[in-house]
Order: sequence, then C-alpha cells, then structure tokens
Amino acid sequence: MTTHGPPTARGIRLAPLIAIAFSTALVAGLLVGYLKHQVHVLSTQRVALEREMRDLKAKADVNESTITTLTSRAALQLRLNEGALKLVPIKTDRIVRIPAVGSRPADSVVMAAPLNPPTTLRPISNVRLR
Amino acid sequence: MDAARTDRRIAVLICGFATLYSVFALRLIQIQVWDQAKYANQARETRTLRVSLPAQRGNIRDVNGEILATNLPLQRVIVDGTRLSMVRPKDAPALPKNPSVAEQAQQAEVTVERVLDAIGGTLGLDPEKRALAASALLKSIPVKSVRGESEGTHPGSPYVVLQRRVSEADSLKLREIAEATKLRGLYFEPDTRRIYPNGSLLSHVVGFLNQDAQGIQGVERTMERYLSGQAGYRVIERDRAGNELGQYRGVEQQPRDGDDVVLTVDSAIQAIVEEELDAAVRKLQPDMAAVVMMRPRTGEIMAMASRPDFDPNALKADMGPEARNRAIADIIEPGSTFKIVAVGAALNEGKVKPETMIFCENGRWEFGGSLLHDSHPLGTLNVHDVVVHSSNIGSAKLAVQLGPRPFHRYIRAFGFGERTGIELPGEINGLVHPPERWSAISISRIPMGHEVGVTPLQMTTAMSVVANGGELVVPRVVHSIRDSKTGQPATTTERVVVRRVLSEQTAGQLRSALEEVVTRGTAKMAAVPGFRVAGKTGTAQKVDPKHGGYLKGQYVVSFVGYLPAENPEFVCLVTFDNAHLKANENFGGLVSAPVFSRIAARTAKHLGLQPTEPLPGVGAPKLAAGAKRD
Repeated sequence: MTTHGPPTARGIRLAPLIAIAFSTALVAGLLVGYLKHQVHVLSTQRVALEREMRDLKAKADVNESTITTLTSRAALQLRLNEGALKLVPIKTDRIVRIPAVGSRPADSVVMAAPLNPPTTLRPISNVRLR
Repeated sequence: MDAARTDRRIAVLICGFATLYSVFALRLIQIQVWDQAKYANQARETRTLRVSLPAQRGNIRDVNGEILATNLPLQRVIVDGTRLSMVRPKDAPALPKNPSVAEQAQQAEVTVERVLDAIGGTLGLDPEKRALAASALLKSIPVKSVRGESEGTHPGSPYVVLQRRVSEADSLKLREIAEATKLRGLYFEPDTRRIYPNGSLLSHVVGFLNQDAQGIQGVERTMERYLSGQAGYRVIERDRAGNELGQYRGVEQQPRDGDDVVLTVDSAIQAIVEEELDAAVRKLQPDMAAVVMMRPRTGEIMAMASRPDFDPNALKADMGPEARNRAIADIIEPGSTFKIVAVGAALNEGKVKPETMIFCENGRWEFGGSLLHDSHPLGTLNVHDVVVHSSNIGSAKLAVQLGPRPFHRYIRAFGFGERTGIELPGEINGLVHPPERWSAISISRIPMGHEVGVTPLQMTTAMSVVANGGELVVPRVVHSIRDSKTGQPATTTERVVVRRVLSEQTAGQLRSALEEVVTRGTAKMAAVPGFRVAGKTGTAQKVDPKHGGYLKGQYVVSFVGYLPAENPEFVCLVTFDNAHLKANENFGGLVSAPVFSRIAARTAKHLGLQPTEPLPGVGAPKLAAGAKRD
C-alpha cells in the first residue's frame, strides 16, 4: 500500500520559482507599460512635428505665392505706370548678337561655331551703360 | 436529513451558477469568436478615420517659366458635431443625467451659440452667414432617443465644412481660441485658392477652376489630369478629444502633387498683344476682337487674346460672353483672307501660273444669275496681282477653273471645317458645306471668304501653311509637362504635321504675292520698318444670325500676315467684329493692318530679330549694328 504525501524538503521548491516568475512578469509588464508610453510620447511628438512642418511649408508657400503676385508682370506693369519703376532702354548698338546674319538656327541656341564664319563681324559696344 | 438537504441546496446553487456562467461564457464566445468581425469593425469605425491628404495642383507657366497660375495655401475649417463641446462656464446650470430630446436640443443650441461666439469673429461671419453656420452645426450635433421617441432625434454628422478658404493666419488664431476655450470637435484641412498673378492676361488660354477646384475652362480644364495630381489618404485613430493617436496610424498613401504645365506662350509677347489690342478696342469699340500669333514651322502659339475678357481672380457668378475664347469658339466669315485658298489651290494644281492673265471684268461679273463686284474696277491682271489687288472676280474665276470638288478638297486640306486639335476646350469646327449643298453661285462666293465660317485660329493656321512652305501643322499651346518633384520635363509636345497642302514652290509664289499686298496692295499699313512682311487683308459683311443675310454697315475686318517674309518667325492674325467706324473706313487694311504692324514691330524687337530692310532715315543696315530701333 503506497501513500501520497506533500513533497519533501529535497523535492522542487516552488516558492522561489513563483517569486522569479512573478518578478519577471512584473518587470515585463512595467517594461511594456514604459515602452507603450514611450511610443505614445514619441508618436505625439511625431504628429506635432508633422503639423509644424506642414505649417512651415504652408507659410513658405504663402510667401512664395505673395512673391509671385508682387513680382508678376501685371504688378510690375502697375508699378511702372505709377512711376515707382523705370525702364532703361538698351540701345541696339549695345546688344551683342552671337549668331551671324542669316544663320539663325531654328532652336535659337548656338552650340558650336559656324563652319564658315562670316567675313563681316558686327561691332560690339564696350561703353558702360549709364 | 438536514445535511442532505443542505447538500442538495448547495448542488442546486452550484448548478445555477454553473448555468449562469455557462450563459456568460457562451455569450462571450459569441461576441469574441462568432461576431468578432462585426464588433471589430464597429470598434474600428468608432475610433478610426480615413483622412484625405490632398495633392497640390501644379502650376501653369509660360515658355520662359513665368508663373501664370499657382496656389495660395489656405485652410478649411471642419466641425465634427459628434464631438463638438466647449468647457462650460462655472455658473452654468448642471446638466441632467439622462436629458430628454428637448433638453438635448436646447443644450445643442447653447453649445452652437457659444462656439460661434468664440470663433465667429475670426471667421468673419456676418449675421446671415452666422445663421447658416448655426443651422449646419445644429444638424451636426446628434440628438439621441431616450424613451424610444423618434421625433426631434437625428444622428448628427462628424464632418461639416464650417468655412472654406481660411487664411493660414486666421487658422492659427482659431487653433489658439480652440485651445484656450477647450473647444473640441474643430479640425482643419488643407485647402487652396488658385491665383493668377497676371490677372486677365492670357485668361482665355489659362482658364479657371470651379468651386471644387476642377478646371472648367482653358488649359486648367484640358490639362486637368496632369495638373490635379492624385490625393493620398491616411487611416488614423483619435482619442476622446479628437486628437490623432500617432502610434495607431494605419494604412497610408502619400499624395502625388500635380505636374506643372508649361505653355508655348511667351508672356512678354502676350502682354504686347493685349496692350495693343486693348488700345484698339478702346478706340474702335468692336463687338469682338481677337489676335492669334503662332510660330508657323512648329505650330506653337506665341500669343492668343480675345475681347471681351475676364479676370480669373475675380470671377463673376454669371460668366457670359467674356468667358468665351473667340479665337477658337467664334465663327467669322473670313473675307478676302480666304483668297489664299483659291489662289494657292489653282497654282498648286498647275491650272495657272503666277503670270497667267485673268480678265477681271472691269469690276462687274455676272455669274450664276448674280452680279459679283470688285471694290475697284480692275481689268486684266495676272494671278499674282489678283492677290495683290484682292480681286473677288479674279479669285472666283480661279475657283471656277479648278472646279467645286477640287476646290472643296483644298478648303478642307487647309484645315477648314474641322477642329485644329489645339489643347483648349470649346474649339468649334467652323462651317464648310460639301459641294452637294453649294448653290449655283457658291463657287464664286466662297473664294472671297463668303458662305464659309472659320475660327480665327483656323485662319492663322491656314496662313501658316503658306509661311512654312506648304505644310499644315497642328497648333499647340502646351510646350511640356514638368514633373512636380524633379522639375524635369516629363512630356514634351512635338511638332505635328497633318499634311502637305501646297508644294514649296506654290507657297513661295503665294508668299511673293502676299509680300506685295503689303508693299503696294491693300495692306500698306501692315508694313513694319526694317522687315519684309507678307499678309492679306479681309473685310466681310457681318452675317445676321437671326434672320439670315448680311447686316448693313457691320463688318468683320481682319489682317493675317507674317514676318520676316523670307524666314517667318511668326504668323499673326488681327480681327475686329463690327468696329464702330464709318463704312468707308471699316476695312481690314485700315483697321486691322495697323494693329498688326504695331504688334509685329514690338514682337520682332522682343525676339531680337535683325532688320533686313533699310530703316527710314537710317540707310542700308550693316548687320544689326546700324539699325537704330530704340
């Protein structure tokens, strides 16, 4: 006849294991709580930062559109008519023309010197504009 | 006996609890397992929100990069009625625990009044707008049923647009107010206002947007799919106060901003054209005026203007005739400018040569039982001089010699009777009847520009055929599409040749005649000092659209020409409908030609074209240096 009794002193001691498990769970829980809080704080910062960037971009865009409006052809023409601006005509003899007569390329861009350079070159003015 | 009864009672109690907990457990399983998807969705819908991330509309620029249409960033004020609340004043009476429908409605009214008191001033709400806003907000606040009644209850709305287009500065003020008063349920979304820095300049080509920021006119409409970009979205979760919980951000797709559209138009030339056109319109008071300038080799539109016009920054609710781009949407009888078709066709078919003599019947010719007149009696002229002196009879005889079908084929080959294909909305076909529907005299009237309807752009394109050596090119107003991120051209439009209409030889012969139209013909006032100009005048009596026939004393006058004649840089058409002048002064050569001359002279200077002809009082040009053009 066999009898079942409580574990002997030489058997597994449950108390430390339970204490370790409990401590681990406690630390893990605290860590999860801390990390969750960190995620919340950082994401709040991220949202705030995104909003700040959006506001800054909006401000930059407002400034850009204001500059565009103030420097538009219509605005400048108005300022010109009011006398706030003045146009100084550039006389023809002070304009340097690179392409030779009759060799104006279709795209208005000279990429290389003409094969047969013109015999007559137009004078270039070096007089300083006043 | 008592112990047994007690045991039984305990057993019954245990069974009762077991049954109860089993019911709870089953219900839990039903909620967590069977109906999991349903409740998860419900929870998601309550907490999560899909917010739109709007794309920024692309800019419209001229060929030099000058901005013609751009965006001003603004904000849209949104109210979530299901969350709308403000901190209550301390002296306010306490709220009942389970308010009735009437009490909820009364409370909603108080909240709305307090919200509008706080932000109404910053939003600039006048009494009328405030009443509208109050009504919208009241509808957005939910009134729930308490005792099963349905009258007066409504679910509310989480999205009510309180105000559109609030400036950035005002939106900042509103945010500060919301923070100070603990106002919840107030949000901001990006909004924009389209601005056109140059006002009415090029308004018909650039176009404008409707309230929903969709292009409804001009390039804004035709290039909508490039300009509008693609909106993105973001799925977010909000806390009780309505603020985003960044850690639970869900699926996200960034918006793709719209591309920039670069036009072929040069603003500087457009400004020249509009300045001269405005001066002429002030003087002549026409019903309509239009100018089209085009590069004949490539079909690029350099300027396009019509009057009346409008300012897209200040659109009226009832946009009428001023919104119509007359250059592409109005039919006019072209008058004598159309003679280039009959003469070009006859020369190209080899029926005549420039020196072939034609008897012009001394100004009166009976054809098909009807008399055809010339403005001056003309005798025998060669084909060249038929163009120079603009003989109706001479050109009619050329068309008769050609025959109706070949002549009609050439009319269509020049591009009349069909849309040119320019990237602008509202272009019309014009009116060219098939030969089967021609009357007995049509073959003699069409060559002088009667019985046909053309748009100013079609006429400009037809003259470009002569200017570029005989090819019909598609006019185009879009130069390229630029990627909004890189700024690099994503697409560049190219020259499209529809067909060869005239041989180079025929075009050259016609050009020679058109040059003499300016030097000794009907368009002396179109001359530009220092340049060879070719062109043709046109004067047509105005058609009565109501009763048919022609309106007495009302004319459509035009001039279409190009410069420099030997190597054309641009073709320009100037037309006025019913200029208020005496009948003997209302001719294309007297009205439109001088305007062309001024526009062409200033454009040539802007383009840096070098004079090739002697300038008055200067002598022969020594390259560009001797030309004093300032």
